[in-house]
Amino acid sequence: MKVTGTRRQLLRAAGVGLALPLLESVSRKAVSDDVVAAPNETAPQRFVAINIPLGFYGPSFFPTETGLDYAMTPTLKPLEPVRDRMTVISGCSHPGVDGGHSAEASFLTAAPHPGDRNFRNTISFDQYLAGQIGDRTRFASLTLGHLSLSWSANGVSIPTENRPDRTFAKLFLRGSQQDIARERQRLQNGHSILDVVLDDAKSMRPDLSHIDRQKLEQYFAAVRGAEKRLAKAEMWSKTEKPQVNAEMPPTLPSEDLTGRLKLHFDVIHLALQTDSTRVVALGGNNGSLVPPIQGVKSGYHSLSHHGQSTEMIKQLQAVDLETVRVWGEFVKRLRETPEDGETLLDRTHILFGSNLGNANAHTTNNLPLILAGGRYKHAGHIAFDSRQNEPLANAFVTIGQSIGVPMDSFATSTGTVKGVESTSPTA
Amino acid sequence: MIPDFSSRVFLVACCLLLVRSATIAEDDNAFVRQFCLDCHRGADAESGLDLQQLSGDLDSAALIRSWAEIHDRVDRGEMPPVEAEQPAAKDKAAFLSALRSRLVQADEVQREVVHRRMNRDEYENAVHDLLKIDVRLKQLLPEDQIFDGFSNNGATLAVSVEQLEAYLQTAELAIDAAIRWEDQPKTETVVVDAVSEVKPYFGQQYEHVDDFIVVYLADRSNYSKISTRSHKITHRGRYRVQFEAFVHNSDGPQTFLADADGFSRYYEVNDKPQTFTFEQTLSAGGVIQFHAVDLPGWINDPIAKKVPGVGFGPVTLTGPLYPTWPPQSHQQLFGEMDLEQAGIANAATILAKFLPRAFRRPVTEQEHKRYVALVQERLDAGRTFDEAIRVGLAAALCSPNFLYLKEAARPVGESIDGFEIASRLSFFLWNSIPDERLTQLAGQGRLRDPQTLATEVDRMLDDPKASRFVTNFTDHWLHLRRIHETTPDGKLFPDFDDHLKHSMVAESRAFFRHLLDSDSSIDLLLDSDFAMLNRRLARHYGVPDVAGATVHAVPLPKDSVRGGVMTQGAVLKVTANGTNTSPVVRGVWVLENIMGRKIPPPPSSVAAIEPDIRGAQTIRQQLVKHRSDESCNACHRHIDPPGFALESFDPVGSHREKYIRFQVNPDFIEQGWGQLVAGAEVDASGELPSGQPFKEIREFKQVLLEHRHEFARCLTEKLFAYALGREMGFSDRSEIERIAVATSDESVGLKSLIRMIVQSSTFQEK
Repeated sequence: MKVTGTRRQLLRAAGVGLALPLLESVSRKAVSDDVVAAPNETAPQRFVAINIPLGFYGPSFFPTETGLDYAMTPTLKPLEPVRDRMTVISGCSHPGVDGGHSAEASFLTAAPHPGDRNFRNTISFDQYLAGQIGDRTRFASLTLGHLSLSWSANGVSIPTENRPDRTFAKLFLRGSQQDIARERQRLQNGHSILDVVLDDAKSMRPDLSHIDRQKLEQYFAAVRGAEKRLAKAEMWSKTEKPQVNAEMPPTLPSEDLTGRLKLHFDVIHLALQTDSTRVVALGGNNGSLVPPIQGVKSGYHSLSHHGQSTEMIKQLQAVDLETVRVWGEFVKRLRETPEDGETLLDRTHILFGSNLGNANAHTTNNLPLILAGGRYKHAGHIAFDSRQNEPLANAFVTIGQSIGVPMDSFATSTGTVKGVESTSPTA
Repeated sequence: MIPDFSSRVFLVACCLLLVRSATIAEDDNAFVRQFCLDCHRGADAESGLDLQQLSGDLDSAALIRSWAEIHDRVDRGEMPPVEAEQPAAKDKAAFLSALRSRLVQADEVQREVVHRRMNRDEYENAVHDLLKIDVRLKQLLPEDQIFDGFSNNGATLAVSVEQLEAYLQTAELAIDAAIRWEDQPKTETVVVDAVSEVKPYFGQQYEHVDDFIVVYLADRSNYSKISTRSHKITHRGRYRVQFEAFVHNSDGPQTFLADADGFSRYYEVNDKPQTFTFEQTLSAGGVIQFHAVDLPGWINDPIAKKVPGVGFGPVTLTGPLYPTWPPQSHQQLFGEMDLEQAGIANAATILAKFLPRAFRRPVTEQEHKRYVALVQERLDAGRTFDEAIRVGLAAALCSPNFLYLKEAARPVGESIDGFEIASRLSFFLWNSIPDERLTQLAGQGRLRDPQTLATEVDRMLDDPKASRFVTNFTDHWLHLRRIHETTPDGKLFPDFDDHLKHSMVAESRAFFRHLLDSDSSIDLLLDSDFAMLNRRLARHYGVPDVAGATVHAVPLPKDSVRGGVMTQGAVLKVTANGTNTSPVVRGVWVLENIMGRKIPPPPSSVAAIEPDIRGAQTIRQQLVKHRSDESCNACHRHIDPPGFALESFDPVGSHREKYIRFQVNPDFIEQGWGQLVAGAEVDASGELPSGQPFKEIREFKQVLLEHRHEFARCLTEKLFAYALGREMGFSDRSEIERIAVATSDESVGLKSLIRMIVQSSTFQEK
């Protein structure tokens, strides 16, 4: 692996460390056996959510026919090789989630009316899963991309990492002896700091109003959570980061939306393969820049407001096609990656879609959605009622159960997604 | 739920409720039964408001909000609708008055949340002012939740684990920047030119004239070959940048951009070489690039044609600059302390000075001891003095005492203490912590004196930090923070460029600033006979004879459609999507930010109007159809008219008489070539629900001025919400009303309004 001049900064941004002398080259297997894996755990299951915030031009995305034998649509064409491992879902959305672009905040939370003046978000499905299965890996979850899909239980947005090179560094870059010593000192300092601020908070309690005391409780919870994470980071600092046979991803110009998406997928693939995390949420870009795609001359966001202009629709279709192609490559790579007699795709539950059904009208129903990989009997194209949509949270329940998390509801769910059968032994 | 009075259960419930909070009482209930329930009941209640299900128990902010809305709709005569049975004037007055007093009472009970944490902007400014540093921190913190348009609402701002982890990280970064034990980095002066990079292109779009590199074409990318790239900056710090520029082959002016590490400065230059100087913090590896922005994108053989070009001389870079060494950030912590000899006693001294500043109040002995003990504990763990004191300082930056604007619990109506007032003042006008003088006045108990307060407001607004107030308030009130969200379609709006966008935002901020500095009437925000323009904006607006790159006050022609905030380019841009305009989006913007009305989001069951720019139907024609549905019309008769008035402005804020669209030439479909063609005429007329008609924007502004009181109330409320970081409730209305009324006096301008807000009981009390 090439280590550049900014390595120090990256290491620092990457946070935790690093190899101890006696623990050289511990393999992933060793890691998962000795440190991570819960006893009796079989086949780790992963979840990856991808939101493309401007959605897709509907008429060239959704198949006309339902069932396994649907005719491939122009936009989904690159997915032909993996069609047996995915289900296209139409007629699905979050009930009460309106508000145009702001619906992005609710894509994984299902919290209604994100555009309201007094909207408060709730926990996102990825963070819920991270709470259930995140303790088994170095990183409980990764929140990536331009706009965050991940929200904590009290509705705080989880910062997103939009630079694949930084994600790569965080996952794989190893430091020197000195680096690790410094990192461990930092973690210990962190504990001392948290002790003191907790005392500060406690001594604030008596002269606060009732509601303020609740706010302070939130602070306590955050401190305790941070302490746990420091402790986890300390534990993991004794385990070497996994070694991968890959270069640090390059930095691409910000207008190269799909190129950057591809780099994110490359790193996600490595993260899953090394079992560094099992939960990933990737928020796409609603950028106003002109992506370097053949035939595209206008800004992506403007194209999504095509106003039925055929010329603009044509360009939008080109961006859509490239987006789907890049994602399809990721799905294929997961299928080509073996793991314990299965493939990585068999153990990765992917939800790919958008918070907008039709960006030109800013509608948030009839979302374009694809469920891929994982343990399901995939069903081709399932079409729910385009007026009375199926709650998208049902898909979360389906996925959660298939992953093996005991749950029978999430936010606005009414059950599981009808028509997608889980083949999980636990579900 | 409307209770059943015959029931014994209700009576019991009622007694209980009397103790707890204000409830909707019997008389109101009779009114509601007679005039509202016909439509507002059951599963298909109008607007989804089922009054049988709406609790009259005013014990939550949401319920108070709903009943306040009912109060306002009845008060404005919108409900019951004209075609329905109307209450007698005295019954209506009695209903409103009873409801009002209960709402005030309930709102006071609810108004408990005062403990708000700093948002990202406040945090960064506070750390900067506290430590006297300027490293960027806020991008490392989670994004803040927005409530009612503002990102400083205490009830909404939550704290999460991620947030706390980020605070640990930013604290360390900030302290690293503040503490500088090393020797002073050498201040160097270098002269940098870009000849080596540009040389291969001399004779094409570049030419070497004397010592200057002359460029003939504008490049729209953010990379320029004319830069300081050949000199690598190794130390982050403040640098002085000096260079000469001139216009070649023309005596007309040209505009250029000096982009220093992403920070943009636009300048105008003419045929006389002129020296330009600025100071800027540059990071290691930072580059200054020059773009001539008004030159054409392409001309064949520009040199032979002797077309105008812009010449840039070599750049003299001096830095990093330090007025003192160690820098102030270091000195204010350590003074002349000898690191070799330092021990816990020094830590105690440092913390005794630092903690009260960080916590904006005197600290208790116990608190001080706690932090000294932390440093001691780290020393005991084997850390050096430097390492240990850093931990102590970092802890203070992660403490709730620093992160929250803490105010003690006290009954509504009781005055807050001097230090709390100092913080309210500084977070309002500086977006940050109080300075020494404010803290001193607070300690002397002088911040309750109206005269002192007025003097302090003036002093604070004269301080450079007041620009944070102007920027932050207009970013949220006018939505300027959304200026980059969409890029206007290049084919439809080929004239739009970064310089125009930059100038638009500068205009809106400078306009607000101008009214503030000159204490001019807030009516000017609705309409004014001047605008803050530079040459670029004036060209965009069609105002003749404006020179210069800096926006400044320019009188507008008599019949100009400009003047006031609504017709400023930035506002018109953020209320459009880059391709087309929607009277709905702009109408909601005007109602919420100018007229002070709150518009519920559209019910999700209704199909949205899909923009269609092919020209068959204008959005107006589509909306007429939409409004024929009575339930849509209930809101749209309010929303659409102000939106119609703004239809004569396109998505980039140009005035238009006809809609335009881009028509592809059938022979060049592959290339996408074509031309702009004019479509339907814009109809910017409308009629407000009150029946007042207007033909176009100028008349609409006059209508708003006739109702100036609504705007005065709206602006006062927005300023209060921003100043206090909380939603203005029903119980705040009388004070808002009092101040709004005062602004009708011409001598009470924007600055006076700020003073009155600060002197008000709402600001001074819990």
